[in-house]
Amino acid sequence: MKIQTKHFGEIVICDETIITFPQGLPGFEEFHNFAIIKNTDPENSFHWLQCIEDADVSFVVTNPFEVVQNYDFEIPDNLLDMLKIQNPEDVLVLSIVVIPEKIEKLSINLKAPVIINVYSRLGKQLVLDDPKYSTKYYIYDGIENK
Amino acid sequence: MLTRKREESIIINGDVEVQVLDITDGKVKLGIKAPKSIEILRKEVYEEIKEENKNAVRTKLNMETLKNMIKK
Repeated sequence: MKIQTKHFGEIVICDETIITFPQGLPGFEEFHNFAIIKNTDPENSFHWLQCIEDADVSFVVTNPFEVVQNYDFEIPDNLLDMLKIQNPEDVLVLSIVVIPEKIEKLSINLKAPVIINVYSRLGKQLVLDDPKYSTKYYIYDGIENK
Repeated sequence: MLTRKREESIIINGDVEVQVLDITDGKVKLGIKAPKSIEILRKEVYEEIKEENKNAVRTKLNMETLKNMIKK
């Protein structure tokens, strides 16, 4: 199907790649259908989670495990059920990225990872209880501190 | 609005029960019984995630700039 995107204009995606978020996302509860637009540059690990119902609803996302050390959490049973997760290999975890005017202050939300079952094409943003993960993890600070 | 005393409950939609377990020092301890499919969060936590998601869609991203930044 053809979809409108915020940054790439009109693009064509396969219907089977559409991910359904039955509860939308916090702040975007009425939006249920998304597509992941992958960055074609292999050196760039930032991708887009683009809403199909509204071109303006588009999130930059990235794999947090590539960016953060020791990021670890458990997916609760009720979410495993909701997303019909049966194999760990079917789970895709993405963190939503906030890119402010000052790009050095780029942050990713570790407190609320987006969990997607690539097999069932279902997704939900999981809010973690763990106080050690913040909604704003500054990836460039992390690199400087090493 | 409902007023409840210690140990009193309310039932929402026939399957969610919220009970006042204790009231001490201006803090109310609530016990919640709900089906596992229902997510329960403190409001301020939900609001924080909502706010962060809203900030995220406001990103004025230029992929070129981001690419150059990452390569540094």
